[in-house]
Amino acid sequence: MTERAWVLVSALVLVLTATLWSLWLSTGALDPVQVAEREGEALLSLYRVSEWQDDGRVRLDKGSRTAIVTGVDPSILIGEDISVAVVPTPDGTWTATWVERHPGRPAKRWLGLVGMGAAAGLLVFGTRLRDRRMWFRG
Amino acid sequence: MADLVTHLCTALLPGVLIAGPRATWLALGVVAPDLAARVPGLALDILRRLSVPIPINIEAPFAVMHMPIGVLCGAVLVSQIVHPEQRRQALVWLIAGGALHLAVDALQDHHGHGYFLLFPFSTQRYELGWMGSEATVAWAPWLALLTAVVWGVRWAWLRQRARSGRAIRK
Repeated sequence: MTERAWVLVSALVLVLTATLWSLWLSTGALDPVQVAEREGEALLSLYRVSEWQDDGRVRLDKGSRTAIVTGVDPSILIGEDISVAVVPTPDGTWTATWVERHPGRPAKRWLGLVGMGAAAGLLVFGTRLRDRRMWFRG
Repeated sequence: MADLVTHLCTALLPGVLIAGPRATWLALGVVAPDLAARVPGLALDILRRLSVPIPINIEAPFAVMHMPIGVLCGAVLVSQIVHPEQRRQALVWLIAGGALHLAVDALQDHHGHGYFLLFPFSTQRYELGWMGSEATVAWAPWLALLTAVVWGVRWAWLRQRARSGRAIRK
């Protein structure tokens, strides 16, 4: 196969895989409700504590996903990142069975920024343009 | 996922033995899965927190870039911006970097919620669970220091060799 054909096939496979992924997600396979139905409990992995409500419930957010959870350790603060194993309650909220705190998460985000800067540096200082393409210095 | 500094160090530490463009491609390949798959989601998260109306799950398709099939296809596409003389080698080392990234990530423990390494052929998740998901944060500064020292020693050795070469020629 020619190089152009490989590029075309790669692009098609990538688009197809991304479409399949989105379709599979839209079935709710990873949705906590379906996971809890299947496995007894669901894991809300790496959610951020957004709000402590007056009734002792906590609102957790991750991107566009939100969960209201009871039974979370009151010492956990707003803004903390936690993972919670939860079981559904009849009113549509969740009860925590165990909670894991992630105190290293903010540092990890900073390290992500540092890593991005270093990668950008490698690109800027390790390459130059040659024939309108990237040439990596030896 | 392990942090990006640790990922870079896992490429740059052995990269000192190959050096040159191959080490750069390996390093870029090792950061690419996170940059392509996670950064769009993080950026959209920030916008959502600023109350920008972003549709739900719009970032979901980027997740395939953190899977072996996304790493392979992404490397083929990205290698097209590299000069044709270096392209094939760049492709090989970019894929090696992506594989190294996924291997390091698979060492972590997410309570059984590992990585979709065989999607779209299987929806099984895989992880070895040998270390916590933030365990690398404590090592990252030391790894970065070690990497800087190793590359510094290499630079000094090359400089010394060049000087002695010039002295012999004189």
